[in-house]
Amino acid sequence: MIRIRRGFVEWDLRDPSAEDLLWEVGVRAALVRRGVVTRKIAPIVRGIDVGVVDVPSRSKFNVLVHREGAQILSVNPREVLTRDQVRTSLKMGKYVEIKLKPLLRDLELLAEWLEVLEPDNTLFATPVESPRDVKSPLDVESLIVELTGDSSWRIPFRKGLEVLVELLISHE
Amino acid sequence: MSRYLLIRADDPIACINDINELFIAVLGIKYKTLKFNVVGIYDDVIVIGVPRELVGRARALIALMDGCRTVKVRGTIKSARRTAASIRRKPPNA
Repeated sequence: MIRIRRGFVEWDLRDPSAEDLLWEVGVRAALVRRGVVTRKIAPIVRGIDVGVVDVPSRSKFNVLVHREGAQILSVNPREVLTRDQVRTSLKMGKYVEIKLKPLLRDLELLAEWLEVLEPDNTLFATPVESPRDVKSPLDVESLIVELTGDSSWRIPFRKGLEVLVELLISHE
Repeated sequence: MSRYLLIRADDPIACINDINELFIAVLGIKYKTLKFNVVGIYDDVIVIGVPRELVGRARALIALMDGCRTVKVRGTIKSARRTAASIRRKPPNA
């Protein structure tokens, strides 16, 4: 059992020039796109070091959730999953990654997502395409807790590094 | 009891305006009794004072804004000012 408490993870880093700002808000590791080189933040390459699969639609989810090697299912924020689908992913030991970028502009949709997602296997990716996109994980955590009134939503943020290490170890 | 949030912003003026506009949502009815306390702007760092119990809500609000983020939280105005002065960054063309 791995326990790491300090530091946060950015699950989708696309621009290395945002690194200093990410560091300042406590991010210590990131799933980076291919070709993104970091100096301080530990770079884990998406799709190489950790299995990430893009899920374009709700119906494709049912197939991809069973795919071997898919550790993280990166869902389309516009297509809200069902409770059953989320439960299946939990049972299969897979993580659901949700992008905050369109959702922070559409809180109604974010609230719909929060109804179905589970704190135990949800990953919030920003994603970071420029330094402007950098969010403080604690700000986002406050928002999610505020919207749900449920403090178990601190888990995805507090356990980020732990989850990342587990994903790395179990990757084949 | 107040806490002081240090917010780094790409555009501090726009950020202050956004906060001003939405802060009633954070304070609720208390906005009648409390004033929104901008301690100062240090180049790209804004320092605001928030009642302790409202820190979570204030941060939630900041998460919604483009181009700004809470980088530090301090317990006294003095240490907030000191930290802000040490982490401020001058705009490149100034």
